[in-house]
This record gives sequence, C-alpha cells and structure tokens, in this order.
Amino acid sequence: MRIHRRHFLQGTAAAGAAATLSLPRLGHAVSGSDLKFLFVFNNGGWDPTRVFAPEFDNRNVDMEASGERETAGGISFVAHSARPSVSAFMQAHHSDLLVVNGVQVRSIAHEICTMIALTADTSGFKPDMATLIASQQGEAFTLPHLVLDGPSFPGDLGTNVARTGAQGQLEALLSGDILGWTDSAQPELPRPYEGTIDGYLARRAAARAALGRSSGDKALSGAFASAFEKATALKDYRYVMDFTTTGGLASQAEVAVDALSTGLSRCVSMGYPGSVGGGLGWDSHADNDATQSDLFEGLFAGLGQLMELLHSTPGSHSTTLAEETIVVVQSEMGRTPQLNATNGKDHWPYTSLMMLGPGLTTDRTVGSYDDSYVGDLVDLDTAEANASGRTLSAEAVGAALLALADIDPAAHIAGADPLLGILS
Amino acid sequence: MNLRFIALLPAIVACNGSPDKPSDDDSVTAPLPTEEEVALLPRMDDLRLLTRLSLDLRGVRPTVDEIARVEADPNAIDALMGEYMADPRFEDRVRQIYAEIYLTRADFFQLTAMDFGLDNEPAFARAVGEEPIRLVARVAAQDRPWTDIVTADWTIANALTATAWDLDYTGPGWDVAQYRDGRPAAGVLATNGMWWRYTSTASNANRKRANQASRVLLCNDYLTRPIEFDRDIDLLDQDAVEDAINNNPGCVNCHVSLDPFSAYFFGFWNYAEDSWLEASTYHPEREPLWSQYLDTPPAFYGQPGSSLGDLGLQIAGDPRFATCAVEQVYEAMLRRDVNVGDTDALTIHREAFLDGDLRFKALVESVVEDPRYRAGDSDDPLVDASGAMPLKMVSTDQLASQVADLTGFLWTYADYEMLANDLVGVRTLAGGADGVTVVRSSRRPNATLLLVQERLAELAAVHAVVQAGEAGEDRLFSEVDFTETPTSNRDAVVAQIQALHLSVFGKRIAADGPEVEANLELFEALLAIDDSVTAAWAGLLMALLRDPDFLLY
Repeated sequence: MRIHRRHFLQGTAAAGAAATLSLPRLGHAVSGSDLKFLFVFNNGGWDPTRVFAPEFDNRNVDMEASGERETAGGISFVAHSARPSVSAFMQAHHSDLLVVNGVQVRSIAHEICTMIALTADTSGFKPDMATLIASQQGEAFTLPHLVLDGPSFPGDLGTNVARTGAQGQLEALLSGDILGWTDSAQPELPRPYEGTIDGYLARRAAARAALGRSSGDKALSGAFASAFEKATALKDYRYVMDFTTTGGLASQAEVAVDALSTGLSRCVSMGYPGSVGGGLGWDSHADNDATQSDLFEGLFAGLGQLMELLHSTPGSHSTTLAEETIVVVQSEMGRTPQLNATNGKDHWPYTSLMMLGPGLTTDRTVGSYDDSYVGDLVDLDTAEANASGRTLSAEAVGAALLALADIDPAAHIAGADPLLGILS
Repeated sequence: MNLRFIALLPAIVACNGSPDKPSDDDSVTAPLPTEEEVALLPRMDDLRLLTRLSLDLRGVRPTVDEIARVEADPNAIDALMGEYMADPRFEDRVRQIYAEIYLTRADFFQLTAMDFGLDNEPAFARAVGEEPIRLVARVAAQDRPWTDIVTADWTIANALTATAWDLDYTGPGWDVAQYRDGRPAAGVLATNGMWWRYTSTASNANRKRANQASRVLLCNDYLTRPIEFDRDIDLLDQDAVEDAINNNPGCVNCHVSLDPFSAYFFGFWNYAEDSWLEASTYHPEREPLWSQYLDTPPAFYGQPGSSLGDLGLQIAGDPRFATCAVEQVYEAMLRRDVNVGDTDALTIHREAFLDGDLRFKALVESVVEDPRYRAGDSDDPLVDASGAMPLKMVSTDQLASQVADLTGFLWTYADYEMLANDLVGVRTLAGGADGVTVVRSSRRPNATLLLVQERLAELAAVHAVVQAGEAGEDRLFSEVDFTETPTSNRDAVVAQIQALHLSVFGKRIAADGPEVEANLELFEALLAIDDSVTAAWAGLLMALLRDPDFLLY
C-alpha cells in the first residue's frame, strides 16, 4: 500500500506540534512524487564537531581552540576563520536548511556504515534511498538515478542506475568516442549508419515485444523495447548536456542540475571529495583538524555553487529547481569526540547530516549529542529531544526521505519508523 | 511440499525479500503448482533449448554442426549437454557464475602489481580476484567432489600471482599450484585472493571474513539479519563492548556463532596492511591470535577446531553446504532468485547432487533438466505460476564471450577487458556487478546496457568483416566474398543472411521469409549510404548483434 506523507501525520498526536514548527521558506506546492533529489556523500567519515555540532560546553569533546559558535537563523554551528564558505553558506541558506545531529549508524566500519547510511541496511544487497526513490518512477526518466561520484548501492534495481564513470565512460558511449578505446584499432562504420540501423532495431524491438505470451517473456522483451527507446533518447542528450565532470563538486553540480532540469533523472548522487580527492578523504585518523577544515571549506564552497545553480535554474513544476529539489548532504559515520595520539580522530557510530529543500521543517537543528557524545533520543513525530523517545537512526532518516517522496517506508525498511518530525 | 526440505524455508523466504518492492526480478508469483503440474509445462523448441544450454554451459552460441545434429536427432541434445560440460569453456562459465557470488573480481586491492615489481596492473588485479573462483571452477570442471572447494590443498595460479606469492607454480597459464608457506588445506578458505578482497581491521577481528565464508559457502549472510543496536553500551569502553558481544541478547544472536567462526582466520592476520610480504603470506604462528582479539576459541557452531583445515571439513559436513550449492546453481541457471515455490524443485536437485556424490556436473544436469528451465513461452498460466523462465537475459560475461566466439573480437583497452572493469571499462553500465557496491548483475536490459551493446557490436562487426576479408574464410561469412550485392548476386546475399541468422541466433530462416526481406532492405539502405559492400555487411552484422534475440535467450 502506498501512503502519502501527509497520512503519517493525520491522526497522530504529533500532528499539531509538527505544524507549529518553523515553516519552510521553499514552497511546498510540489507533491512528494514530483520532488527531485540530490545526494552528496562525503566518503571517509566527517567530524560533525567542526561544523554541525557546537559541543563547546561538552568537556568530553575536543573542540578546535579557534572555533567559535555562530548562529544563522535558527541554526547554531561551528564557525572558523579558515572556513569562510561554511559561514557564508549558513547565512545564505539557513532558511532552507535542516541539520540533523546525533544520527546513529550502528557501526564503525566504513563499508558497513556506508551501507547503513545509504541503504538503511547492512547487507549491501538492498538499494539505496536514491535508487528506491528514482525507481518509483523508473519508466518516466531516461536515467532515473544518475551517479556522478561516490558510492551507490543499486541492489536489485540496477536497471534504474547509471554511473557516468571516472573516465567519462557514459559520455564516451553516447558520443561514440569509446570506439577508439580499443587495443585493436580498426576502421569505424560511416556515422549515417547509426540512424538507419537504429530505425531497423526500433522495429525489431517492437516486434519482439509483441511476441511475448507469458508474463516473463512480455516483461523482458518489453523491457528491451523500453530500454531501446531510452537509449535512443539518451544519445540525443549528448547535444544538450555533457556528462563529463572534473570530479570536483562544482563540476558535478553542473551535470547534476542539467540532469534534473532536463528531466533526464529524478535522483543524482555526487561525491566529495570524490574521485579527485581519493577514496576516504575524510578519514582523518591523524591531523584531524587540518584535514576536516580543508574538506569542510571545499564542501561548502561547492554546495554554495550547487545552491546557486538550483536557484537560478527553472524547475519543471516550480519557478526554480530549488523549489522542487531535496539536497541531502551526509557522511557514513562521525569521528570520536577526543583526539588520539596523532591528533586524529577515529571512527564513531554517531554522525550528523543536513538537508535542504521543500517539504522539510527548515531553519532548525534536530537531534543532539549527550555528554558522552552519543546521540540523544528523540520523539520521531516531532524530532524534538525526548528522554523516553526513540533512537535517531540512519534508518529513521532514510524512512523519512522515502515518506517525503510519497513512498511507503515500511515496504522497504524493515522495522524503521520514519523521522516524521522533519517533514512539514 | 516435501517435508524433508522444510529446513530450507527460512533461508528461501529470506532470499525472496519483500513481495511488493519494485524489483528487477518480479517474475514469480503465487499460486504454487505441484511438481506433477510443473512437469506438464510446455517445452521450448529444440534449437532454442540448444542455444540456452550452449550459452549457459559454455558462454557461446551453438555451432552450425551442433544445430544440424539436433535437427537430425532431437535426442542429440542430451549428448551435447555432456559435451558442453566437457568443453574447456565450461570451466570459464562456472567461474563467471561464481564471480557473481564470491564478488572477488574487484577493480583494485590493497596491494598492486607495482608492489611486487610487476607492471600489468589490470591483469594482476584480475588474477588476484579470480584465484578463489578459478579454484571453484576447476573443481566443477574436473567433476571432483564439491567438498574440495573447502578442503583442497592446492589453488589455481598464473604467472602473475606466482610471481607475487610463494607458490610451486610451473605453468604455463592458469595451473594448479600449492602455497609453500604452511597454510592448511582449505580450498578457497586458504586463498590470498579471497582474503585480499575481504580484509579485516583489529576491531573487526576477521568477522567480515567469517561472514563472507558463511555467505558464499552456506548461503547464510549474518548481515541480512535485523540488528537492534543498544545505545546504552559505552562505545569508548572496549570492555563494555566485549561484554555486550558476549552477553547482550541483541549482539549474542550473531556473535555467538560468528566470533568462533572468525577465530579460524588469524593465520591471515596482517600487522602491516601495506606490506607485500605480510599480505602474501599465511602465518601459522598467528593462528592463536584469536585469544587476543576475540577471546573465544575457533569453533563452527559448537564444534571446536584449531585451523582453517578443520573449518573446511566442518563446512563440508554441514548440510547447508550442499543446499547452498543447489540454490546457487538453480539461481544461476534460471537467472532469478529462489523462492518458496521452488522448495520441491530444490529438494529434487539436492537429491540428484547427493546421489551424484556431490559432483557439480550432476547438479547442473539436474537443474537444466528442470521443466522450469526448459519451458517455452506460452500463455498457459502454469508458466507464470511455476516460476518458469522461458526468456532470460545474458550476463555481461556471456555477452562478451558470445561476441568473442562469433567474431573473434574481445574488447580490451590498455589491457583492461572493457566489460570486466569500471576503472576504464563499462562493466556496471553493461549491467555487471563490481563486487563492492554493485553486488547483483542486472537481469533486465536498460538504456546503458543497450549503448554498450551497440558499441561492442560495432567494434566486433567491423573486426569480423575485416578479418574475414583478410583471411578469406570465416565462421560467419561463408557465402560471400564481399563483392556481391543484391543486384549482382541476390542468391549469395540471401544465403549469407541465412547463414548469419543460423550462427548468431541458432535459427534457420527461409530464403523468402520476413527476416531475409527485412535484412535485405537494411543491407541495401546501408549500401546506398557509401556504396561499400564490406561496410554494409559490417552494418548488418552489427544490427544482428544488437538484436533483442542476441541479448535475450
């Protein structure tokens, strides 16, 4: 059964409380099923105490000596002179921003935490939220979930996921340049052949699809015909957008916004520091502060450019793309509250994340850390701290994202109740 | 339902997942027919079945001679099935099948070829990842007892791994070899390739390794179990964590069996992750390190042991070991997940496996004789209800191997096989699994797969035509010498089109049939573009290699 996110709130005691929370600045006219999603994954485990968690009063947490608490609207964060882009971003976008602190990821292994953060599951065999959301309308998009960088878990929904490739493989496939990527050089066929052969195959695909009699045959041959149409459409995209990125966040942002605005994709996944910065760029077991500071500065500079693009690009259901796009910025884990012997910080099973966009209760921080830097319990219906509440888990956040997209979380995340309090 | 197989149900239900999720594999629904009803399923025609068997057992299309044998005598299929399993390419197919299960063919490992003074990075990474699955494939191809995969005192090596690791390899090529570092006889459990792919940290204490062994050998993945994480555990207190693992019910559920399982793997323990010597060598003297990292001695579900050799024997003796192999082969051949409706069929195949003394070929033979495997397309509701697969899609490996066999073209670039990696290749775009985050290969086509198919088809078709022109003879182009046109010699062109359909699709088409007519029309359209007969044939072959019937079988 599919349920609309509003149905979650109706009839619950929390409904009134949720409605009185801070109102989103971005319009809420777009329905959940029309929302687009951008996921920015920060590989390696960031240190929330350098931006999201101003734990200056917590004696168990080693804060930066030169960091200071700053406020932007309803959001309190850690500011630092080495990270001007963080402050600039917060001041510019706090009204559209929701910070979630104290999110439990249940593990301290990168691989497992990444699975949990993205899929709300530990097996690696389940699809991530981006893939689930994209697949809900898989037929409506040529590449429902486009992966520019960072990890992606397609599970058994791989047909809805496409990676652009570290070497620009997707672009090379579309342009035909990949025909030169071979150890045995040989002549190419005349380019006009392509249209003639495509025309023949379009007829073949349709004819084959019409032959099926069992549901399995119909589904598979029908899928071929549908894929053929999409592949043909995709080749035309080469004339309106370039799928190649330099690996940097700003470069990824340009492709991502193109993919969303042209209707190519519903979800786009990006990575920071991504292929340029290496696999586990945030994994600061030594020299934590310099590593984290540089990365947060670069991240927020890139996010600033991303938001600028979203606000300046027309949407398909709203004035701007920003009004119909949810941006989720996350990392697989947090870092220990205290510095180790090499001034680094090790892995920690509680972290923070942030989201921007319509349909969220923004300009606020929800969740918190206790004296031991463990995530506090919350009332999932209000997202307010509650000593007798529930764990603010990655699963609850993932379930809320599904609900935001008008997808029933119960069908995909076993036993996880969504963090409804972040939905407006 | 066969009650003897009732023990399989929990695992099968777990595999089946949520019934209402949008899935690439939603082909099976209730109600459940009996095996007697399943036996009445309509059969696919002989040549389609021959093509299916050839692709599934060898990764290539049947030859014209094989087609003729079946046309002359449909019972020849049985003999051909045996020949296919005796074909050297059967071993390749088993390796491909188990690559999707073991997921060891990663693009990179902790150590690279350069660390060993070697210069072929792609071939080295490939060789490392293939070590365990080549061992599995060798056991299957030589029809040794399946238990050898966890008890063998040998592995499979090539010149690259033999250079990197201490092996008594003689070669050439991939050959049986033995490690000379005192590691126990434990088949895949004692391979470097397996544990380079699945590493461990101090806090993980080999639990990941134990879980992977459990997943691939027993079809029991601890990570699929629901976990209730107790937030009251003081994570900064190692003693508190250890206490929880041993006493907290939410933790004990898995750790009570996982931790003793993990304790077996300390011979592979490394103190320096980036040390080539550390990572290449088994360390018997470190086997007792379990006492330092786990505080629980090696045991397999209550049976104590001391080395990986013991573990291999314990796994081989676990009833789940054979059951798991049956599920894996069944899923591979039907190219879908097992579900509750398969319970009786799995029982039958398990019996055949046991009756065949756990020989892999006996199991494969039983599965490919399953009516669900041989069912033809029909609007008979039994086809859908039984979980029959009258149509399925080739894997990325099968796509590459059938193209290579037909045209002689294997797509490589800078020594990378383009359909077998994602560093410079297009493996996941073609629906393949990278073994790390993409852990299931696609079973349905999508746009990017068709783009890969298009580019591969163009390269292969041009290659085939160029080679045919130079060599003067070719498996594909036997009826023309690239001078004939429909105007100058229509009969030759028609005969060539018929020959192409026979080789590419395993199907005879009539000279005046619609396929020939459509292909002639396409040939003439291509010829009109630049008046090149050779290019037109390449274009026509490219179209056939992009056809739905080349991807779906």
